[in-house]
Amino acid sequence: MPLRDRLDPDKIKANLDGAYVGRKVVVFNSTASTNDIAAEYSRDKSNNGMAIFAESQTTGRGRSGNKWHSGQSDSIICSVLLTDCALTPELLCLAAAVAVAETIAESARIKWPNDILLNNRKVAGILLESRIHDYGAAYIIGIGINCHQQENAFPEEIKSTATSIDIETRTTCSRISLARRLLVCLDHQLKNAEIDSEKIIEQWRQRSIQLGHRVTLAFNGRKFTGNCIGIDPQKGLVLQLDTGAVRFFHAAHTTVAKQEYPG
Amino acid sequence: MAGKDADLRRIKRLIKVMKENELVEIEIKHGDDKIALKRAQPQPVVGQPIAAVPVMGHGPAGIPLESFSAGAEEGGRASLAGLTEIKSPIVGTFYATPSPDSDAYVENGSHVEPQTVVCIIEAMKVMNEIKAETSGTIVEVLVSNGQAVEYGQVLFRVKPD
Repeated sequence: MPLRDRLDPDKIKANLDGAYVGRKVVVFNSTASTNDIAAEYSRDKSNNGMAIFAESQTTGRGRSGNKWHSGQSDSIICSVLLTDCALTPELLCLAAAVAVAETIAESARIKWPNDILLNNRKVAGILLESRIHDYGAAYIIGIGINCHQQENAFPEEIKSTATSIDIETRTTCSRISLARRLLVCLDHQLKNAEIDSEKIIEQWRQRSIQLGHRVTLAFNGRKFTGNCIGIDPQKGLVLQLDTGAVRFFHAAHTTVAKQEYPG
Repeated sequence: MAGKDADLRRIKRLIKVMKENELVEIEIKHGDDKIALKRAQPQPVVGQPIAAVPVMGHGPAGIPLESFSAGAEEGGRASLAGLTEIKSPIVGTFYATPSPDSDAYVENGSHVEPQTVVCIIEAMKVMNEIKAETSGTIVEVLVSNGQAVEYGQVLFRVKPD
């Protein structure tokens, strides 16, 4: 990793005028989990919008306790703390996914609920957590974006499904620029979601890799297959099941068992 | 010139005064007589003997103060024998807590494992979590929150398991 690509809080904060996401930026060299650090900062409501980055994460986790693979300084590992958020967790998840996809590329797609894909391979993941305090709920958006990894950086079991920005663009991206762009996009999309949730849903639709395609979901120990026909900001993914019934699947209790990719 | 026993009693009294008032150094002169005492640590480790080395100066020249200090330091090391030190690997600012409102990572009496994070040192705008790299119980915290620390500065003393 070139030294110039090391995360610098002052450079990340530059040009974030008027944004509440990224008002405070803290960079850790290495930590167990930036979401855990954000949880500590969530005790103070005035830390709303704070962003915590790490050059490496020793026990980074994804949904269902899946490990997030990252080496030293090859990813964006970031947690954004929201202590004053009026959005439902579902809508927050959609807005975050739209913002992360927008940060990465025009062609980045969203695989509900929390994966961002480039050329059908996972390039980023989002993990939403909450903490309850006296002042109400604090939300922590954990984001991992693969930046500088090469093919051989990924473990065998995810080699065919994981990618990085450098692999897909055949260039070396700037993590500082990406980090700044991430905060700008998050700020923008979270504000959008508060003003008009339809705007977020429409952007999500445009980027969804599942909408209009057959999807198999695992919910409550059972598998459901059908066509994905939409997303609801409260109730989750909408599937027209092969039985003809239309069902909602809440992100918190559902995993994608099978995805038939377009093309 | 006082007798040997009288001197010893005086020194014991002085050590008591030093302990009670947390004095690091004391020097008393009566004509050619001089008593100088120096402790290696302002606050000795709990349960450890006080690191004071009494030295008396007799006769016109007395004993140079430097030699008292050397003795005191030696005593300091002896009193800390068996304790492991956690030192700062970098120059920076010491933080005892993960966030300003959080509880300290460790305090006196905390048990640590090699992978236990004991503090943060902020350097070059980056937070560095410092791990204990030893197993044992924290018996002394030598720095306070927000304090500037040097490379190699002792941050904690640990009584090994």
